[in-house]
Amino acid sequence: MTRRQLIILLSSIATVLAAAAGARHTEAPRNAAVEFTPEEVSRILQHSPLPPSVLDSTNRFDGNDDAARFGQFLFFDLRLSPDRNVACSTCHDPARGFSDGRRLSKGIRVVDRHSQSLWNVAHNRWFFWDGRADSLWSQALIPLEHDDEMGGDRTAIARTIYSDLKLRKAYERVFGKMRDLSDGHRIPPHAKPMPDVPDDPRNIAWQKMREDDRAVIDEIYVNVGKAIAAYEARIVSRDAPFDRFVEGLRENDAAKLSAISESAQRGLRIFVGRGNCRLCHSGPNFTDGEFHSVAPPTLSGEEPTDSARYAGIDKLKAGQFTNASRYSDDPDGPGAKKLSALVNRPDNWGQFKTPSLRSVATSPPYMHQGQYFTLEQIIEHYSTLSDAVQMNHHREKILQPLNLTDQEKSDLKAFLDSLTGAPLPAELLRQPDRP
Amino acid sequence: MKPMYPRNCTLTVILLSAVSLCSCKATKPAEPLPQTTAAKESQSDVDEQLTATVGRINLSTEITSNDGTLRVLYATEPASVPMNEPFSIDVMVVPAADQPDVTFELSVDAAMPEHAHGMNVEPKVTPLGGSRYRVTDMLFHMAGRWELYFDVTRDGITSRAQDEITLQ
Repeated sequence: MTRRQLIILLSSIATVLAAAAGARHTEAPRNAAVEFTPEEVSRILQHSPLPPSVLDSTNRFDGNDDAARFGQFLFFDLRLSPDRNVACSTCHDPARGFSDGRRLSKGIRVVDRHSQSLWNVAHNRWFFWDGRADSLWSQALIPLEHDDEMGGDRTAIARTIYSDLKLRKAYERVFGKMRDLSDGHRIPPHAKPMPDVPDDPRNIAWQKMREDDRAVIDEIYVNVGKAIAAYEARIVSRDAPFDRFVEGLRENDAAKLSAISESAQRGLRIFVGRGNCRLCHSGPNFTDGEFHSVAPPTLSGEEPTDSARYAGIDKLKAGQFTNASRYSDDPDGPGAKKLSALVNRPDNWGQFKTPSLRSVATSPPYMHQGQYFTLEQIIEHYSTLSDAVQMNHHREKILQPLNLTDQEKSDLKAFLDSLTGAPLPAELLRQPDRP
Repeated sequence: MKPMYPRNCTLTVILLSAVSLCSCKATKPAEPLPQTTAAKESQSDVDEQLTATVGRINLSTEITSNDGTLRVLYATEPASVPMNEPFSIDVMVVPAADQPDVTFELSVDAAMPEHAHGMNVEPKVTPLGGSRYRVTDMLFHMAGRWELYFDVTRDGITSRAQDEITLQ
């Protein structure tokens, strides 16, 4: 026997032994209401448990308790908008699954997309429906200054923190001493870069500022984003009945296997089987984190005009606060590399990010314009595609009508309901008493 | 075809894999290629060279270009392509007999034919000297059948070697 043959033989023996050791995970469970095939079990196991999110190396304050509390305070603080009427929590209301219950969200004005839930947001690879941000902290900065959302500006936000002693103290505890921002000539009340609206007084004020003053403001602004991100990373949905069921599959534990109903188990079989749902809603967070066109109708009834991911990539690459920027705490790390490898193609036109399905039942309506008020309506869409918008270019070829029976629709709904995680601690659902 | 399986693969699939390991090497070309300087080297020589260049890898996968003019040996890192996570590929191109010394240009891509889309990333190909390359920034974001393409350009002519990888 040659050395090569010996190696192959030993490898084969090791493989068989490993398979035998793992077989208890792949045998059809004896006590599940539905008898899953080994292949189905293998697929189901891919969806649980949800691991902890990896600390964001571009945000050195991720995981910092003081930063998270400061960020949580800001998340609920109406003073970040100029009319003191809109906070992050306006569109990401904890009582509504960290969304807002509206089809199109309303900050200062109604915007053209639905507010995404924040469940497990730290697990995302890209942010927004179109992925125009590559980190949670840079995502948080965009609505703050968007004139239709919170309408704020970075000098006003910095001055708000500086002028409130409690806020300033909390900021300095995490980020270090603030520079004196009281000189209204050097730090205007309202200023921000607005390259698309050069004549706006806030842009003119920004351009008139000294470069070192702008750098100071930018640093504070970025720190605000990093603090908010540190809080948002704690908005986690896990320990759902589905997770207990998967534990039951692994352990062949009858009690845990009964954590979800027989109907939900049948829905799960469709989900990992002929429904092909798992292709996009993959992994423990039930999303591939990427972008697809699933052809929902537009609210207007017209042809889609939102280029979504196609424009999102251009916006991302032109952004000031990317993972590769000097504001990142790891500009050469994996977060920057994912950006450099990103490619834009015509296929990306009209594609929206796959949302996580964890706790999906808590945050209706659904899709990027809130086209569907209920999960039943979404399931109906995938069952018939009768309302699908036929775009004249790329479309997911795998998107085919599932032709579900009423029972199967009900089963899928029961499965989706089983993904609702354990409640968050109450202290994460409101503004803290102090920043 | 080189099936890839997730960590929690089924007993049946693993057993089949073990059997196939013992019994055959399906990726070997059916017909021997013209002997070249590189091709004359034994498999172990090639393995040794690549090991010295890019670290210890198993060159178990060998494919022939669609036009039959060259061979591509490759190994993914990690060995089982992970679902929706970055991975890299170590590649060696073995040229045809009449072109042993030409300069190659390698590009790598992948697509899901049944889905009519490719990857959302652009892989980076780094020459390591000779006809060896390291490909980084690969990412298969969905389960299903992927086609992996190695496009080797010599003197303006491109030959494609391709393989299949199925993520469960």
